Amino acid sequence: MTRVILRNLHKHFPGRAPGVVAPKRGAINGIDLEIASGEFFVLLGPSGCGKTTTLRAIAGLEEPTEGIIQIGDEVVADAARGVFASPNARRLGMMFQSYALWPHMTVAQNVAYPLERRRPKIPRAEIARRVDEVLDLVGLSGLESRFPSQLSGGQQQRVALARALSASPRLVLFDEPLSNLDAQLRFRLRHDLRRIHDEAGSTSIYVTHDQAEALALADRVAVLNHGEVEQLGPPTEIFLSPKSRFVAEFVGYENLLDGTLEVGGGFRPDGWLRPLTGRWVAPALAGARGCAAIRASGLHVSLDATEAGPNALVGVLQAVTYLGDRYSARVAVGGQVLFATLAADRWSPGRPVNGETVHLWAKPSDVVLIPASPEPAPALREEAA
Amino acid sequence: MTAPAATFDSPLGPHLRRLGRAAPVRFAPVLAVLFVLLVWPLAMLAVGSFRTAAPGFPGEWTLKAWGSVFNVPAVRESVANSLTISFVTTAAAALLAAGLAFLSERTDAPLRRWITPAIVVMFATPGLFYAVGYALLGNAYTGLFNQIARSLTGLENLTLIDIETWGGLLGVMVLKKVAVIYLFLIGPFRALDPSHDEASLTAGAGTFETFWRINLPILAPALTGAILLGVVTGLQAFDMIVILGWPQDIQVITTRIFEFITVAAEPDYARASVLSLSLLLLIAALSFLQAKILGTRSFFTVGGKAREGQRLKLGRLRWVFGALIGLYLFAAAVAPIGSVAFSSIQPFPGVYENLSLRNYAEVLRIQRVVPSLLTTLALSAGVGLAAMGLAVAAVQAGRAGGARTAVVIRFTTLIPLAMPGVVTALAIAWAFVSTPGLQQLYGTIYLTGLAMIACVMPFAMQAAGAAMAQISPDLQEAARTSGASGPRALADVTLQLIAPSFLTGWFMAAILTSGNLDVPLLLDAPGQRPIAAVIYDLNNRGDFSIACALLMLTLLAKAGVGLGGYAVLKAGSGLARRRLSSLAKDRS
Repeated sequence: MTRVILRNLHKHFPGRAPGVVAPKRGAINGIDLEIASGEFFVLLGPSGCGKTTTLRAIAGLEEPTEGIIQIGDEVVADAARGVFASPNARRLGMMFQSYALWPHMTVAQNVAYPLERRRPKIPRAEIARRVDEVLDLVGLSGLESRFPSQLSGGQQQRVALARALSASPRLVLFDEPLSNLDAQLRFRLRHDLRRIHDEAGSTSIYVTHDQAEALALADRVAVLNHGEVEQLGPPTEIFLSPKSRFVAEFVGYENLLDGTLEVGGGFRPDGWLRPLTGRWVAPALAGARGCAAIRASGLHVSLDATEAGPNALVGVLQAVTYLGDRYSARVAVGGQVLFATLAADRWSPGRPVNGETVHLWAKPSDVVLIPASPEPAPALREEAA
Repeated sequence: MTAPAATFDSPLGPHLRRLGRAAPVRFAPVLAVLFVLLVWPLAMLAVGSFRTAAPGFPGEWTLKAWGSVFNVPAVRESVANSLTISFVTTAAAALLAAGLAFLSERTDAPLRRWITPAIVVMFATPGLFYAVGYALLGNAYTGLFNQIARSLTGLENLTLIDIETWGGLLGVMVLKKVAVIYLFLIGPFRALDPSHDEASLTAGAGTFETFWRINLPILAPALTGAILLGVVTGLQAFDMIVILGWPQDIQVITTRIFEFITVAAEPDYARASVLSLSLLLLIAALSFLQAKILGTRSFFTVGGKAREGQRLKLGRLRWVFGALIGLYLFAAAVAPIGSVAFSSIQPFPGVYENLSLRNYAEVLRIQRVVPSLLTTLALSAGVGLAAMGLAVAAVQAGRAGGARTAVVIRFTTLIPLAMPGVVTALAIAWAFVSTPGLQQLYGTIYLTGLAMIACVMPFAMQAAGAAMAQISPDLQEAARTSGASGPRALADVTLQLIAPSFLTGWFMAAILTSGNLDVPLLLDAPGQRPIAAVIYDLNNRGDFSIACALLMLTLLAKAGVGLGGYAVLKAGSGLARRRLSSLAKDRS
């Protein structure tokens, strides 16, 4: 059984002046995770958040400054005790963002390499059989004798996957493996990756900054920010109930309104006269600060007041963009600009915008209310406790 | 799943620590070799400047040499000469080189494709060859150039060029130095991102304006670097001065150091050391200045997309520039090689009858020539291989050992860049003579070899660094995560991928070694004199035509080895490809 445990993991990169440890891109500051055996686990975050550093620490390509990494039942890194297993002692497979295919080896040689490094030695015939099997799994049979430079981007990506999987590693690490591909190919390979993970039965840890990838692949997602886990949970939870403003913004909530919880349960964005009703992702007390997050797809525009539903607002239409099956509208409400959706039959492409007065509304379940977590006033914190 | 607490006692045991902090220990031998070869000699040189006696002999500590050496008028004069030569030739050569690089890379001038190959040949041609070639060509009385001019004009006493003047010496050095600076500039010129140009052109700037406002500022670091490199090589010049300057009593710092040790009745090692150290400090200060000016800025971008940018259309002027290129190629490449080739079939310079290959037969009959050729071959090949091997190990150690190790290695391997060959040879001799156990090497070809390794180390580091930089660390990491140990990953991935660059670097290092005159003149190994020293002797004795024949033979040998190696490399990579793919077929 291959679970992966990270305890209080830190990685600091030396700053410019010797001895000064400055916060740096990619540093990690105390990550605790338990990844279950057979799980497809995604580390999600913007560039520089520490997700790749975490993955490289698990691979043994970075030595943690502090903390413990355990793969299966082996402690592979424990900074306090000076334990650090080299990458080749960790029995894992890794897929690199650049694919890192060896240009002087054929497809078959690339894929066979991890098998040839296994001890005790695997017989040649067994290696050949396994190479065939894995290439078949990724759909590359017949390309064994090609060199990487003779393959398309998608094929190279599949070779990298086959190489990561060929020695049946207990743990497979993915470092943004799809980011160099075009959108269509990415969509197809996403499905393949999940299928192959399910068939292979190993544990997978996958790093990406693409929320759609995380949605499609993950059993669980950890959103990282500044080297710390900001939120951990299944994809639905991350996408429907972001626990912080950062997560909401990162997973694509277009409208974020700071405000205060009022007595009676309403949330009043700063500068607004009327409160919004919505869904709290965590308990909060009257007077608490927070943020309302509303996706553009959940904020509807109508030109006619009678169509408006709950949380009705009045605004001025500023711009309309055609999206194919609907329109995206930019609406000024009070001093703020909101992004909302205009149904396909309510507008026509190319129609000029003349500052129309429009009506906005959103279902309370689409208005996500997030209590502000950082530095609440000391008195409030005591109350909350 | 068992409780994690029970597994904190690692089951993997002591082989756990192989990466990270363990790296410096693993690379300790590399650091030790670099220390003995480069740092220790420098330290001994400094010590030697405070001693009254020759290295290895009992003496007293003294400051006498430091106090007195710069009071000698002759020394002052040679310092002034060094600075003059260095700055004048650099200024002229930098202008010429930048112009040629611009013509070759950014314009449609005729003959532009010949510039780079011709300059590579010039770079690989030792200064000795150049100096002898021009000395024969531009001699006021017997020089081929003047003779032709006389027969064309019918004027008996016409002397168009006299190479044995200050102007002649500077001219020849400029022509040679253009090659060094050009090769330094051509990479950055080539790496200019065409999209920068296109952005400027679409913004409404013309081609000349784009060059002036966009390209030139981007090239500024490379240009400053090239100019400082030119100054440094100027301060180090030795072989050209020995051949072209000595007959007119032009002395520079390096020749003065050489004179202190070998020519003077009583070798004055302390003064030689003081002069060497002063030169070294001057060069180090210049390098420091360069680092200060440029900081860590590295402007030029190497994009993966090698596209042909827009070339400047010269219009009718292109023929003018073409003619200028042709003139340069003739003066810098055709003339000196042609002059040596022609002299090698003359019975004596200035004699135009009885042209024959007799000199070649005669040179091979000289007893020490064939052994010397073999010595040079073995020495060059051995030094080139050792230097490249050490450089690859050093680059790898710098990569794996963290930032501090990398800085130490970089600095250490740059030391010889600040040392003329004469100084390197002197420093190595001192270090080895004063170290018990290493003393036995003195007077053997091995010490010559070690000094030459030190001399080519900066070049080898450059070649190895460039080769390794092309190999993404991902490739080696992918091997590590595939289960390969560190050395295994190095052997399976990196070394195989850099093999062609490694062989090229080896060849170039061997070429540089075979042309090195400074080291063998100072570190004499009885009975095993490299060919450069033999040619120098012949030339000094006045056997010009035989010296030329020997120069031609070595040139042909180098070309033969180079072309043969190239062919083997080509065939080898083709073979390897076929073998790999057939292997893969077997497997599938």
